[in-house]
Amino acid sequence: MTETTPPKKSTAKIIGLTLGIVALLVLFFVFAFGLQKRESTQLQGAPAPDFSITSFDGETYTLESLRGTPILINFWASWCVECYKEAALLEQASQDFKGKVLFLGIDYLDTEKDAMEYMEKYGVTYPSGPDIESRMAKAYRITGVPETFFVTADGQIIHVQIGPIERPQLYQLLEKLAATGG
Amino acid sequence: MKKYAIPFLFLVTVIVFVAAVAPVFAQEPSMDAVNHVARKLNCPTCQSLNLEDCRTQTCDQWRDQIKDLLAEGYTEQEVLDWFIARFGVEVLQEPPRQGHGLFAWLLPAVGLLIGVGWLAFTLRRWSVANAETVPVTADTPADIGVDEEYLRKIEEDLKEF
Repeated sequence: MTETTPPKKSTAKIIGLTLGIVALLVLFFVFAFGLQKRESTQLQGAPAPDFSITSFDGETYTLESLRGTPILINFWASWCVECYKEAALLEQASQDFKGKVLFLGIDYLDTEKDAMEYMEKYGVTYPSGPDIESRMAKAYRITGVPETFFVTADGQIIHVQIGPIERPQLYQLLEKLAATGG
Repeated sequence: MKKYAIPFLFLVTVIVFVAAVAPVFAQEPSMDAVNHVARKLNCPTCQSLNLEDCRTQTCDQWRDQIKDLLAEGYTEQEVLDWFIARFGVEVLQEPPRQGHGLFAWLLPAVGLLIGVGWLAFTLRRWSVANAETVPVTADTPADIGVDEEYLRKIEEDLKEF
């Protein structure tokens, strides 16, 4: 009678197969995570992500320091054609809601010289600042410009507007925002 | 002496004019210098296009920014650093060869090494397995691990048959 030796080869095969499956699973989850949809509209009804932005005038604004103040956050760029369409309207609205809603412009992927020219051309007087390393754009998951976020006094996003906004909708949302300011 | 006075004055005027105007032209960076930096940066609004090839307004503005910085005396690396500080490391066409950027450079090499290692191991295993196989001939019965008792029974059955 011959003795049967322990199956070394099959153990190695099982280990190799397990490692291969684990590697495939890891790859699958990495890709699945990468493909996950991340849109700004998903933030509607959620707390606004924290931010710190220094305006072109040198003033620093953070979500924490603005707690208690309703905020309109508008992402824009001087090269953005759609942004021109709402620039004058936003400036007018910022004057109409002065003291009730703070308007904050976030200059996205722009150069300072062109941003300043844009602000002068459209008479933008509310604070605006460059989004350094696009940190705020990433946190707010914007997919382009213009995008506008309406943040209540207690830091909740009540509406995300992708693309330029029209006057009736803007003023309706601003009334809602102003009411949260007390 | 008088006949040299006019050429001398003319020469002095030319030298003074060139000395005054030359720095102005010297400070203006060439398009080649601008494009040399631009091709190392990504267009911020398109996919996979570099700043040199892209014709969008954004890229025009960014190329102007490069030109302004070069005119201010920034070196190529300082211009790239300025863009990284302002727009993030994603702005570079090539990931940096440090920090997280190293992964992008090392992973393909590591993958290749693992692949070559696996291939070498598999080929070696195959060749060893082939070498261990005893060729089956008419004279030498193959050792295929068949139970000897079983063989003996077959022999007996064959004899009876």
